[in-house]
Amino acid sequence: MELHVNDLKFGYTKKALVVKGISFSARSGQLISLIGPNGSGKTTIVKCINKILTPQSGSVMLNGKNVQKMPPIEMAKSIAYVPQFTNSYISGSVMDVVMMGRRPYIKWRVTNEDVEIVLKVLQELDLEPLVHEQFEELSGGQKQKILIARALVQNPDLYLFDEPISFLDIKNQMDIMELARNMVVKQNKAVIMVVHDLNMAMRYSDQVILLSSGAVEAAGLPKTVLNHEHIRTVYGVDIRILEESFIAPIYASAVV
Amino acid sequence: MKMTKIEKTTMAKNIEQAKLDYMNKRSRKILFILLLALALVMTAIVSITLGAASVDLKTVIQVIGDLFVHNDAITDIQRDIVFSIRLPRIITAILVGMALSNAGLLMQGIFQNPLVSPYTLGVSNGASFGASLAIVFSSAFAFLNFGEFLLPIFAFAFAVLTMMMVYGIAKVASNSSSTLILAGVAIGYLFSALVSLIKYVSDMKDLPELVFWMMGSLSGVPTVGIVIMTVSITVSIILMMWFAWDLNIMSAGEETAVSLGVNYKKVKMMSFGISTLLTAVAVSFTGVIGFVGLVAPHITKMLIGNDYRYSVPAASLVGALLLLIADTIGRNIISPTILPVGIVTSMIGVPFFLYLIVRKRGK
Amino acid sequence: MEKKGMKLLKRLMCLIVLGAMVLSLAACSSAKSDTGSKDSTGAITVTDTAGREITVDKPLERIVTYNSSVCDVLKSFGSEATVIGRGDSVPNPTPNVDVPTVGKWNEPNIEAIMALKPDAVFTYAANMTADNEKLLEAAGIKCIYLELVDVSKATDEVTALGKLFGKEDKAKAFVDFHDKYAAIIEKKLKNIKTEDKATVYYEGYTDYKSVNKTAGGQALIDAAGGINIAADETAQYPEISDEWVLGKNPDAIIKLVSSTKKILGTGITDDTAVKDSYTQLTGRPSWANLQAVKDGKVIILSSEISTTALGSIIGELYIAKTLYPDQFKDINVGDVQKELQKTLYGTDLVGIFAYPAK
Repeated sequence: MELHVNDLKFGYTKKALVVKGISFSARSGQLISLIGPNGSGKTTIVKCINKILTPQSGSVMLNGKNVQKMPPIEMAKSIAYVPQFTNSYISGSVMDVVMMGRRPYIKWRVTNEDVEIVLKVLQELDLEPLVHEQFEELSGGQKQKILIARALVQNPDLYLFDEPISFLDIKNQMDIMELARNMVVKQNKAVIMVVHDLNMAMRYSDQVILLSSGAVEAAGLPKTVLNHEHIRTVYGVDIRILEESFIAPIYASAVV
Repeated sequence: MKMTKIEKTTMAKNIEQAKLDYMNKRSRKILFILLLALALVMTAIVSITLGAASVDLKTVIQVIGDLFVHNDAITDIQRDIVFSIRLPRIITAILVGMALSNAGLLMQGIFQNPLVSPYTLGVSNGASFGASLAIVFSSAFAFLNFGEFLLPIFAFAFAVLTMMMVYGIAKVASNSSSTLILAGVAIGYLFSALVSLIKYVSDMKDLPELVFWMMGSLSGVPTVGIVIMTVSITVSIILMMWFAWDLNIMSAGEETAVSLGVNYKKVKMMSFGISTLLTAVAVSFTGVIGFVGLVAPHITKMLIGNDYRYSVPAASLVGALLLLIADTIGRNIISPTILPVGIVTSMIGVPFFLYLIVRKRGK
Repeated sequence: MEKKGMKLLKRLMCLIVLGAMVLSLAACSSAKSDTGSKDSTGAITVTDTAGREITVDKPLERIVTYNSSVCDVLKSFGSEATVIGRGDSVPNPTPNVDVPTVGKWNEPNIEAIMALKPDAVFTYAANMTADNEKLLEAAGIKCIYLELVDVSKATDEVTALGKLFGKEDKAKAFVDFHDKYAAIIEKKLKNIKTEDKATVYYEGYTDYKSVNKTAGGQALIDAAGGINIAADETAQYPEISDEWVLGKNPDAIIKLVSSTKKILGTGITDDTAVKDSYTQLTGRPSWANLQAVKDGKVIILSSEISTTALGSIIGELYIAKTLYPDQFKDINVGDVQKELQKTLYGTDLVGIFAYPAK
């Protein structure tokens, strides 16, 4: 799988662009983190890749095909998307919600195979006991994992995760990041992830793309991108690297 | 991480068990739908034997038997009461219940809003305006030569017009669900003001007819009306079943739907069209019958869940059952006076609905 | 359980109906006892529909009316010039002379009335609040409720109006005319034995909306010697089950159409529309099997001859002749109406008022 994002531009109004010409590539076996301050265009880029938004110019090519011109089902078989966690109203059981991920493969009837795939994924994520629970009645962390399970049963080549760990406790954060790492390493998938946790990005990513007001500030290996200067420029805060991959903020008093 | 053999077998067992559970649930849903269908048939049978005229079960059986073997004991009037009066009315109740219930189910799904009903987008107000024009200015529109169909045609036209206005406004503003609902509510108020205006300037002689129409009635729906409703509902149900999966996913929101390969805009347009058609057809022949469209979908979802593959047939049956029971009661409780069906629907529907809510919370 | 409920309901109904009867009897008797008198000073006293005694010093010269029937009666008196203000549903009494409107028929505009300084204002009692009445009376404007709604009180109320406007002779002409034909009907009905009285299904403007014994239609049916099959219903204007009508198999069917529909009434000369209505009415499911339809005892009446004080005697005649065609063979109701028109207005009658004509 190869994804090329070429000079992508997007704005909600004609004048103000949110994404100002961004290019990057992703291929199987890569975990790419999109990082940057709030409003820097991370989510917008992900939505453009996924056809939720139509870019004003530029293109997103998946295996040489323009995503915008791909039939919806074909795209859904190749790209899965876990939206930013919101308290949106999805009613139905956990089974129902995860089964939605099989939509690209289901004609009308749910086959035994579909059920098996869903149950396996739920089991892998330790969600099996929740299978008959109502989605709405679960905790935020459980919901997030179930939405990830939905992406997994979709069995695509590329996963788009928009802040998948923002609402999770440290244990669940690690679980999800391990899972993403495994998918990349063991199943040769590609993951593009929007994250705010610089430590997690540092630790788990193959590539990091640092965005600042809709443009790429720096891209490349985590170590080279996530350095003191870049972060100061983009976020306006001072950090120091404690160990090989641990980032800690410097509080005002400490600087003086 | 290595699994022991025992762990592996329990895992497989768990999957098997869960799979079995899932299949069982599916059969239970199908069984439940069949039971609903049976209940509807039974209610219809009971309903056809009840009425102001003394045509009871025995007579009904004789009348039906008379179709095959001529029976001299059966009078023309008895035959007409069964086939021309009770049967059409029962069919009308079933059809209108199905139409409103499915329209509500669809709207609540695509707007992701449980408070939406077929009337939220102002359709009933638009239709009422059309009807009030037809009632109050009937002589001015006589040149159209619509005869007895003047009212349904006007009501239908204005129902559709309302929807087009709402959709147009929402499209110009921004195509979000909340804009659509807001535009609908606003347009609804506009039309309701226009209805009030017509009421205000109308002659006192026309007023009762208008008020009566706005209460809704299953009386006197012409055969053409029944045919039109049947066709609209059949087409709508087929489309809804065909797009059941898309509709399921759309209830999780636009982003999820698009990312899962749903042609969101197309299906949303279609849903909008279907719910307009269903509502407009029902309203134009029977007036404003409230509540069914709001509550029947909720009752259905509480009973059978959100999967449109099951909730469409179930909601059709629940809506039909609700309206048929209500009308049967309305026809018979202070017979021969007929209590408006809308009143009875709310009186029996609301307690049942509240019971379901309480029971759900208790669980 | 249901039976018990029904019983209770029926009992309640009986009570209500009984109460209504006592009240209306009382009202009738008071109206009968004193419909008006002139004392030596020239002051005029009448009793209005609400049972209030109205005294005016001299015949009314400037009035406001929200009641179009009052206006019709004044026209027949030749007193239309007294109308200086009207409710929106009251047509201009004299064509081409615009009389100012002073609000909606059921919402008198007190300021507008006061500005016109009339001697009296005619409204329906239900639409006048006690406060407004006080205001008007304080300004020297009499509030008079001669509603002309109940056709059985038509002659009394027209007589009262005659006194108030100093047109006793005109009022008397109408009353005489009315009473003459009322007497004819009464006499002919004497030939009908109680058990031979015709049952009637009476339908208002809306399909399957009938009337019970407290509604206006009852008086019309009573006067024509019919028995209202829906008399005992709870609602005043009940929606009736169609199959019940079939079960009751009435001897006659009376359907009213509103003059606003332009099917029947003054100025209508084309009977196509009313013919359609008639076909539709008799073409309802199984209605061909009804005795009334078989015997041709079905009539459609304009509201102008069935709900107005001046016209209802014509409606009564039409209904009576429909119910008992043999008894009324010698009466041509159309001609009677022409005569009434001449008596009241001195003009020729133009329009179709009933179908089929009798």
